[in-house]
Amino acid sequence: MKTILIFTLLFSIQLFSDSKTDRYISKIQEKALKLELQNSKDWHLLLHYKKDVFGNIESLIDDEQFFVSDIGKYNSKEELLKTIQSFFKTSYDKNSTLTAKCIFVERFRWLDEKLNFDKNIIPKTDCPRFKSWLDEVGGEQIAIIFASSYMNNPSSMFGHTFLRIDKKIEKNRLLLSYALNYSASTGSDNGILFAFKGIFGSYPAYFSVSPYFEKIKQYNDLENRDLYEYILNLNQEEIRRLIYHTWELHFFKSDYFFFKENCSYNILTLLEYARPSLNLTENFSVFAIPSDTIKAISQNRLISNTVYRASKKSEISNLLNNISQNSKNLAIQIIEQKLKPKDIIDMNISKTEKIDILELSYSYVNYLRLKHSYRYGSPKKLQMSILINRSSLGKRDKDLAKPEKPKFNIEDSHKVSRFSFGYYRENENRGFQFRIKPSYHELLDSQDGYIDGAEISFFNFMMRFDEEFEKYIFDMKLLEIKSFASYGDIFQPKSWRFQTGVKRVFEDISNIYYINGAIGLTFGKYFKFYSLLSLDYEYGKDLSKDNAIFGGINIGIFGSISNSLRTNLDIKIQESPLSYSQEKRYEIKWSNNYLMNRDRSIIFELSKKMERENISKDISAFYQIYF
Amino acid sequence: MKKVLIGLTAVSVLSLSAGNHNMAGCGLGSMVFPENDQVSQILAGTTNGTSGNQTFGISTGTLGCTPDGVMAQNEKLNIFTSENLENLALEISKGQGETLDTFVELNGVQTADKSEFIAKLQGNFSKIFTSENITAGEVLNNIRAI
Repeated sequence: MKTILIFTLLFSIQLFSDSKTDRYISKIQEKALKLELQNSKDWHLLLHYKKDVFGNIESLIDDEQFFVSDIGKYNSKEELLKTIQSFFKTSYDKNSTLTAKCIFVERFRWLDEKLNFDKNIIPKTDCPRFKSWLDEVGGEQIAIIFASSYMNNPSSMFGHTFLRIDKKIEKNRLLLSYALNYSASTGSDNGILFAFKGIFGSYPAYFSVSPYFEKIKQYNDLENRDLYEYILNLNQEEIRRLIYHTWELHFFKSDYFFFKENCSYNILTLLEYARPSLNLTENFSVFAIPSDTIKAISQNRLISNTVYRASKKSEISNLLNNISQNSKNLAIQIIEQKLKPKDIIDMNISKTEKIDILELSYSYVNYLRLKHSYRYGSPKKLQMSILINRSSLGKRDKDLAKPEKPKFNIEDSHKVSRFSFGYYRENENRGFQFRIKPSYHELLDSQDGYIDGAEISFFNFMMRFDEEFEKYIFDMKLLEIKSFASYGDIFQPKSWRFQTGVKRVFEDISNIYYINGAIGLTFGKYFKFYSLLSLDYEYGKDLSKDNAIFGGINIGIFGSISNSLRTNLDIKIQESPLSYSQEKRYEIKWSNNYLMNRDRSIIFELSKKMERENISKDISAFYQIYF
Repeated sequence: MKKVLIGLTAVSVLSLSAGNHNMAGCGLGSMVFPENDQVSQILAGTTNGTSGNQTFGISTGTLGCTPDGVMAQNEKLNIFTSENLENLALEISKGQGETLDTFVELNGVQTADKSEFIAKLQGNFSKIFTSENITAGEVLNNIRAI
């Protein structure tokens, strides 16, 4: 009987306190609604809500568990009410060891600031997991890191961005800072499937934190991509907001979309929460190209300082520019194991030269090893032996391997979309012409901030009308890539080009589909000469004439005549090996692009073409606007 | 050294290959991963695939790192040394570099003693990196012994 009494008593206390908590929750929810917190900018940024054209909201986060309410993805008010309620429970859900307060740390802090929760009613937890994470991560400073492109992979020209959180602004501790990266979990898919899933958002993506040195190894050391570190001028409160919000995001997934909701776009959403007066994402409604997001950040005056971190390959290039030909030759002999590292020590040359030779040979063997293309025995044994000998030569005054920051940064480069209009004469046809291209960069564009010899263009659409606007032709290049890197003593890359699209010519009203590829070598430093073997395939309506394969050569030269004039002479000579379409053809094209300023230019082209025994001459001029 | 380098290559390759791991390599020095292929390398250039499956229910921490991706305080020197062994060897032989500076800092060496410490490391390179099969742990022991 006594026991029953005690139970009843305890039960009533529990019931009493529950209803007291419930009453408090209702009261505080009312207060939140009165303050219209569900419509406040901070709340929308915290939940990553975006308005569609009809004014309805939807969160960009796709993980159901990110929303306390079942309809929270679409309803900011329901999410607000349920979030407040969740802070009074002892765990977020049955799978979780954490409370809502310790998961949604920034939501809690922000709501507490607005509503001033009664600390006696809310369950007490000091969130040890969050505290120890915060203690390790910091931070005093935030930087956005841009991983630039690397040669022979023009697709990487778009770059990648992530954030770095510096616990302390100390030079010797930056490697121990943490990188905050938004990336897709792609499993082992690759090729077409990978591209398809990426474009249509079937990969889940996460914000994750990892030591910064891991990122340096990945980009600088393995992928040979230079890193640009843009230090942001966020104040302490803005940094705190960003870090707390990162914590509550890092548990949850979103769908990754290559073109828009990608790494760079999501980093912009974080910066917008840090400083709500920024409007960074609204400029990126279709594409968010990483280099463009850096430009947006630069235009919003967020950057206080830029630091350049050269890739291993850039370090080797820098060494090559600074050492003698004799040293290079000796280094090649070590690389090819014709000389032993010890032999260099015993040579009658200066100490500096010995250091040059050993450092170059080490770096190049390392470069080849990581590419799995070292062919002269065991690279690791050789590397070890080089280092032992190098260590006997003491320290250099200046580390020659570390190059200076390049003169031009990606944020100062030309804009990637382009609209052009102009006039042309093609044999007896003449008239107006228009061209539009959403992205990205061509050989003749200003090279500042880009890599010389690399080109990638998407959806380059050109139309020509006759003077009466009665007839038209078009050329829709879906994709065009060129990778023309010079062949040298040490780096010996192949050059290649690829293009595919559909076009219509004046002599024929049916569409012609084409796909062209070429491979070869490029030489030269300022002016580059390329020489390629080419293979083209064309498919049109008239199969006897248009379904054709052409093989041949493609040679040319390109470069800058002056700071504001880029030129390209391109010659193609081809022959069709198949009897039903047997013919020879050639095309000579000379293009000059006069760069008026960063985002304006005039391009003038002359070409002569011989095809199906017809010779055509073409003169064309475009005024180009980069936007 | 060989084994270490293989280990390091594996870690490196890991960070390239799109996926199959949690929170790109924190203390993964001893694990072996398949070689990456060119296609995924190229695509990784634009997507930077990693597979983070950190949820608040399950804790799947990798060696030395917490499930939330940070290094455990007492493991920092070990993680840093094993993850950066290759650059550390290079910079000790050159007697300068950022990896070496960070390593010196993690060893708690005072600024006044720094150049002497680095000169000692460089002078004893062959005693520290004794073989191709050396591990980060052995390197740290050899440094303590000199």
